[in-house]
Amino acid sequence: MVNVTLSPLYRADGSATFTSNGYSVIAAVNGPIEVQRRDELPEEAAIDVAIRPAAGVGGVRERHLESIIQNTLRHVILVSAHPRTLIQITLQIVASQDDSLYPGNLPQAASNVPVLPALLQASILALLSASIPLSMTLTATLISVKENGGVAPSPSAQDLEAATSIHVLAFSSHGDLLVVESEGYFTMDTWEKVYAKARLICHGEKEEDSESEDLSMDTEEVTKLEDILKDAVRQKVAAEYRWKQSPDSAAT
Amino acid sequence: MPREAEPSINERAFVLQALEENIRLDGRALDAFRDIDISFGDDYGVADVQLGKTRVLTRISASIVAPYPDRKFDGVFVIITELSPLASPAFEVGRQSDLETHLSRILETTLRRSQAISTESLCLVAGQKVWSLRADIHILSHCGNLVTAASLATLAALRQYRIPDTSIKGGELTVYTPLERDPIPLALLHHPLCITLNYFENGEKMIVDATLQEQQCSEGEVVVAANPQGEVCLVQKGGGGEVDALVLLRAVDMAVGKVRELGKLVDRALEKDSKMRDKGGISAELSAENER
Amino acid sequence: MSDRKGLQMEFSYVRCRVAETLPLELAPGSPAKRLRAAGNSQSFGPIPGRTKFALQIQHPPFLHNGNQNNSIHHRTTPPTFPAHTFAKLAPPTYLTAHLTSKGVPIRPSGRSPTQFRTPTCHAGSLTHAHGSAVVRCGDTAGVCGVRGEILRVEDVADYRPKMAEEEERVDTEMHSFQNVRREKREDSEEMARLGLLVPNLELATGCSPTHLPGGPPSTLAQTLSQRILTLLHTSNLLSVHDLRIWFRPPASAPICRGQEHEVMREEEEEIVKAEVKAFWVLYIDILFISLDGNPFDAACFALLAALCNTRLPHAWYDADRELVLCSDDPAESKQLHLYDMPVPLSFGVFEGDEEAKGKKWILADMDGFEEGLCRENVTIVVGEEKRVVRIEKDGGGNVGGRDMRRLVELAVQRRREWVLMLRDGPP
Repeated sequence: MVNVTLSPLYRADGSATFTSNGYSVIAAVNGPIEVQRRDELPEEAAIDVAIRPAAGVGGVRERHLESIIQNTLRHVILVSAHPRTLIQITLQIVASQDDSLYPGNLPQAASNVPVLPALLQASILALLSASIPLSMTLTATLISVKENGGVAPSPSAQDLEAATSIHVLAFSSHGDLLVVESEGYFTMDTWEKVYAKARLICHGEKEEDSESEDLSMDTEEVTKLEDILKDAVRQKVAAEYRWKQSPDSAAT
Repeated sequence: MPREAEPSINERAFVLQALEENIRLDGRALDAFRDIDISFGDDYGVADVQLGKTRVLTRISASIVAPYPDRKFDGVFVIITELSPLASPAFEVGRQSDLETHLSRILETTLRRSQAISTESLCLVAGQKVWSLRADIHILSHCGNLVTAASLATLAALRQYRIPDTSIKGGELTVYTPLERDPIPLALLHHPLCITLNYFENGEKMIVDATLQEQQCSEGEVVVAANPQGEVCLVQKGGGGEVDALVLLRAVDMAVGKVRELGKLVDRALEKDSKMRDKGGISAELSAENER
Repeated sequence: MSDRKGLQMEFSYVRCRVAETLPLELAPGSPAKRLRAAGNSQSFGPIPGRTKFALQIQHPPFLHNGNQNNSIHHRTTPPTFPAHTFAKLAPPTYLTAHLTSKGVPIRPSGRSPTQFRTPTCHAGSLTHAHGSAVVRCGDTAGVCGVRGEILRVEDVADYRPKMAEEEERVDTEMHSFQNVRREKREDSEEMARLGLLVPNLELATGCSPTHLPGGPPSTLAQTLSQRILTLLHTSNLLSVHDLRIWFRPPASAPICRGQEHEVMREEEEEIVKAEVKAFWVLYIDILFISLDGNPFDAACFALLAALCNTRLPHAWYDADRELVLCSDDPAESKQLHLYDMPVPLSFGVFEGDEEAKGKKWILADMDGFEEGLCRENVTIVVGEEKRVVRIEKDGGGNVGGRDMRRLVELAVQRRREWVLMLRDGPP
């Protein structure tokens, strides 16, 4: 379901692809590199995020997503470690469910929320691949709420179309809530259900005193997103360090 | 902003000396391509081409627009190339580089001016509604020979793309979703591809599919676009060292052979893809296409 | 390390007591009275525990050139500077000092952390717009103008009329709840596809020191435009039904001018040949004259006030002339119907200066000074019946899932206030 490739591109300092639930994003990170004078910050690294849609050139929609991601990454990256430099993140959307939702031209008013988790996730993986010092990592997920109030994780295009509200939540590796983008009509009770579910998907454990009986009922085996990412990084590191292994094990 | 690093004097000398002895640094023959991998996305019209370490992704999309007032019967076909920092840190966001202009001009001449895709076939209601087809070419990794990689990806994507079926009843245009009617392939008249040849020693030596380093060391390049039938669509030698006129003839001859090679590769990739999509072999029965 | 940072370190122990800074700025009355008020608050004892220096607020300049008593000057130990200099030198420290002051935490503006500014509004002041409002919220001020333009169906290349499908559906299915919902969704999708709502937000040159003349629209302006646009579409603020311009065959065209919306829709279904010939496109332009924090909330208020005030002229399609005509009789114009009032409330999270590690303050409706110090932002939009329309949050991890309900409560509270203002005009 979730597919991660680290460092697929050769020229960028770090890169990653993240594919999940019909959304696929390639991210590249260059940095720390020289920054233009007008963007230079005296005490921290400037972060530049550029999103390139699958078809067409970026517009106001992309600017909004860029500013969300930039605000988030400024908190995640240890920006004070590289003052007066630039960390440049380029995100290329390869596939999205918008294509099936809106055949032809994508209207500007179409919701830009569903692609956000893939963008966040790809940028974090690319930052890891570029070895940029981070204070934490993050995991993000998309959840839709059905008409009957049911919570549907990883919704399909049809689910999104029929949803009364859609939510993107991102959690840091410490379990803090980093990003929320919720839209549609919903009550706070619904939102709290969504929050608990998202936390379970991303971070695994529940909050200590959350009273979530209905969640304990669905005991489906969900590999938490954090572990999937960790595994991907672990495998990549193992593959790069295979020369260090003893000759016996390498021979097999 | 960092600039693309030029090879050092030693590197340059090394590459040139090796070429003098007919050796390329990656061990290829002078007229051999790097490994080519053509893959398609889940949606129609997405082709991802890897040419060694160079990687290009093309996506075709279509929408209905009003035609230009002076061309009432012609659809619109646009090619968009944008080089981003994904491909190399030397590229800036939102600033058009010379390479980008060069690339999009060559592709446009190859595909549109050669009538590979006839814009008339994109017309729906004359003067009112036409298809606007766009090819977004995303350069993901720039390690030499972008022209061939981009033309390969674009042609493969165009050949694989399926445009929604339409019908006109009483002046009312209906566009069918893929569920209602199977989308139909584009009307391509021929399948041109671009080959870049880099020359050394005053055109005495020519190599196919140069890497970035070879490109930087070369005296100049010749771009030839042709179709597998051997018809030449474009020959371009923009600047570089002067060469004998006969060298160009040799270049064209060499390129046509290479185009055939690549054309077969695309055929094979498309065949494999259609087999994969046609699960259970029902598409032949469902096809609305007539035998002509 | 930059010079500024050095200064910040040096003064990081300086604390000023808020109660004393306020009279200086807020004391009403004549200069003499103000003088007394200021004079009383001149001396600052060291605040026990945390303070090493006492902060001296300097006399305003006009105090020096009289025969004023300068004894305070002699008593002081350096450094000596006015409060606004303190705010510029060490902004985080200045704000922390306010928020950690004895008694209740208070912000430099005199508000409590969760207190929001009450906007003032003047609706309908632009002559040529169909609806307009001038809004002021603290020192943030903006104008919003709504103008309807006509978009003819022929000019939309990929227009898909959906009459036929609709009829079919009415036959086969009953008007169930789901059906209504689907119709609603399709309507809003149509509105999005046609682009009937075109909000544009501009930050005028000089509205804040960071906005210089020339140059492309700033990222902030673009982001705000997009947020307004998505808010317009995700909330049930407007419906595409009110923006359709119909053609009615003359025989069965009853004059439905000024009639109720529901009646109109019923008629539409009866007359088979009636068809949509054009749409109203609402161009919503918001121009900020002055920016002092929280532009999104102010923009939303301006938008709501302008839409409440919007009257579109009666328009119909004339088959003989093949034109869409508008009546210029103001009596025939129709008020735009708003189906909901989505009201936003934005928060920032302030994490304190170096000393106040691990603390956080959630500040509602920030002003420009506070916005510069808060990196984590939360915006909540609530609609009818305490339903939430949007939650946006980024930039940090201090506001957790458990804080959210409290913030929503505050937004609901603000909504009540705003709705009263928008429905009944200013009190």
